[in-house]
Amino acid sequence: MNNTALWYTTRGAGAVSLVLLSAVVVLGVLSTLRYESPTWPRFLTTGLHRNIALTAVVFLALHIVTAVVDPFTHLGWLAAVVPFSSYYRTFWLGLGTIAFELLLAITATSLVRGLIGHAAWRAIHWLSYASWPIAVLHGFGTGTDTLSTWMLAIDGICIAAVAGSVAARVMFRSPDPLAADRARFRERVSRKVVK
Amino acid sequence: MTELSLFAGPPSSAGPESFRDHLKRLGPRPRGDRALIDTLDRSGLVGRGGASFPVGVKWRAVQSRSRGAAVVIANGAEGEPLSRKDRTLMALRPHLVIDGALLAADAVGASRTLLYIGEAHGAAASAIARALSERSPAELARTTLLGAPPSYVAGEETAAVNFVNSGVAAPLAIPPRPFERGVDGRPTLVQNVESLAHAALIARHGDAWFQSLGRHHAAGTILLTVSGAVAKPGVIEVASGCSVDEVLALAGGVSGKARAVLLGGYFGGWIRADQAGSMVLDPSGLRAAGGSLGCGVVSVLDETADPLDVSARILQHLANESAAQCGPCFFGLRSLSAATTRIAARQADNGDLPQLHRWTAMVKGRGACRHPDGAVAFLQSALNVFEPEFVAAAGARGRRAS
Amino acid sequence: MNHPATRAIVGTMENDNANDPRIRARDAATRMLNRITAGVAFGAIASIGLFGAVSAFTIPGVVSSTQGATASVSTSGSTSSSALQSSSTTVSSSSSSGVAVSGVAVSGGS
Repeated sequence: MNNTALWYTTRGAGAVSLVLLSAVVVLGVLSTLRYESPTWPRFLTTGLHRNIALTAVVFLALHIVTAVVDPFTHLGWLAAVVPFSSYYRTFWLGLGTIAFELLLAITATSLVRGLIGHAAWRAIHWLSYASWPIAVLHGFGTGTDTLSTWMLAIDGICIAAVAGSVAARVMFRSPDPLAADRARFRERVSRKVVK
Repeated sequence: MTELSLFAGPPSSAGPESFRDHLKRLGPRPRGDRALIDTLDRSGLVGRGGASFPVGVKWRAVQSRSRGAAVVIANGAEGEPLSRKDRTLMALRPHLVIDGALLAADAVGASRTLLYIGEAHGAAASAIARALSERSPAELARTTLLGAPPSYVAGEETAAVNFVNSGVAAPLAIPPRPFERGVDGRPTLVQNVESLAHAALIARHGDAWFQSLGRHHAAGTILLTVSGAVAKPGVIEVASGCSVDEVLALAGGVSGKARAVLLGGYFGGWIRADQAGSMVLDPSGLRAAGGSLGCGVVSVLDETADPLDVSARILQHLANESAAQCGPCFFGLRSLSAATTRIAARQADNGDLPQLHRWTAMVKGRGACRHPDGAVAFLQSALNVFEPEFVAAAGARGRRAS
Repeated sequence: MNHPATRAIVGTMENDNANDPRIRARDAATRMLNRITAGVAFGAIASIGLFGAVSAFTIPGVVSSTQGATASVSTSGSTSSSALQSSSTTVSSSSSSGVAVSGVAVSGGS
């Protein structure tokens, strides 16, 4: 394959991955708000979150593979798994490796949630709040197109979408429908006197 | 004729057996070691808390993970309203239970032994407390008495562990199971008090003895709580492998005409009277056949009682006792209970009966613990056994309907 | 369970299911989920082409020698911004169509 074609593909796939992953984060955050309507049940939000996440992983893999295979970058496969091990833009590329591995952990645990239990799954899933900004920074630092208008526009929209969804979550946190009953139950079964 | 083992010795009117009498009758506590676990395997003893899981296998699972710091919890919470066997056993034979708990602690390598007793079971708790004070200082120092909250799920093994760890008896999602990580993260054996009492006798008399107590292929004796339309309701000890007919005869016979039998308690299920009579009560056999003896409740419903009303009340209790940790359990059982109550009151809406079938499928397996599954299984048994009554009641609209 | 009452119950359930508005709504939502997912997937593939083309256009790199490519790809902002300024008009016009950021626009074929 033509070297530059690989390079364009890496850049294109990087941009697409950023967009997809931003959509995944937005959907994930919005699912905590438990929005639903007659035409939009809750499983639609979570289902899209899951499907787009898996799609994103595919495009992220394309982004990584084309970057490593591209002879110009002199990246070995090691750089894809060991952060800060490349000569090429060591720090910013390393951030990408970290974001990728966090995403792998999140994806893997989500696929085997039944085996590891809800608590472990949830703990790892919180790392998505680390993975996404690290990915954005990776893009800023390594990205060829960082200062191009089109890329800035994409960045702006993605960041605004994620920030907006987080703000919505903070503002519109729906009360846990079980909270009151759970508290009542726990009060009933709590140790009163230490023997 | 059943040869008594747990209730051999002084009659129930004599109250709790003292340590002196216990030692005189049975001798000192034997060694608890790995050989005991092998003996338990051969004896065929299965757990009496409801799951009928082989006791030897459970002990070995803890022992193999223990590094001398495991924990034993003797589970005497008995939150099932229809069951009284555990509290009766603890009130009359506290030293058997304590022996069993200490034997388990020695065999699995535990450094802590906890006696988790329902705080509402006053006679049992005071008998155990007094019994502990009769023991040697060393044994007294090793054991701790805990009051289990009087809720249905407090006896669930993760709830017991959670209570010790955090003071709240709410069930937790598994993994990990207590035998892997329980109290303080250590391997924990949670064992029903009746199972421990049997183990205390097997340690003295051997596995062949225990096997000989049962009928045919069944092993040992079992404690049952017989209630409902019988002349002499109460706790009885019978040979494993007895039939329900024999059990009901021991309880003074059915008063009136039996319609159905509730086997296993709220977590069990209904059986038609004509099919129940010949049913063999062997916990291992029932488990192998996909059924369950549960916690040994045998409750008789006669022709004068309304099966829908009884079933609705039981389901309501189960719904109220949900820990409200999982949406499908809390809201699902609440909806099922409301619909069943409406049907029982002959005020059903058109969709109520089909919805019972539908919602049942949506609730099963969706909780962190097995509470919703047990409730749903109970409801399904009611829908099966009392099908004509449900259909008729669902169609009836009460006297005020046009 | 061959009790006639059972068959009656089962029959009622089967008839109800197909017309039950809740089940119809759920099926419609599932179809929408599949459609949006497919749209996103195709949109993403198309976007690789689009973004790849746009990136090739704005910062083509010097195709002749790897040395030149290095120079234009290096982190020195001046090089890339000068490439930017020379083609800024083209960039802005392509960026308007390039704002197919969310795949939804592309999936308008549902």
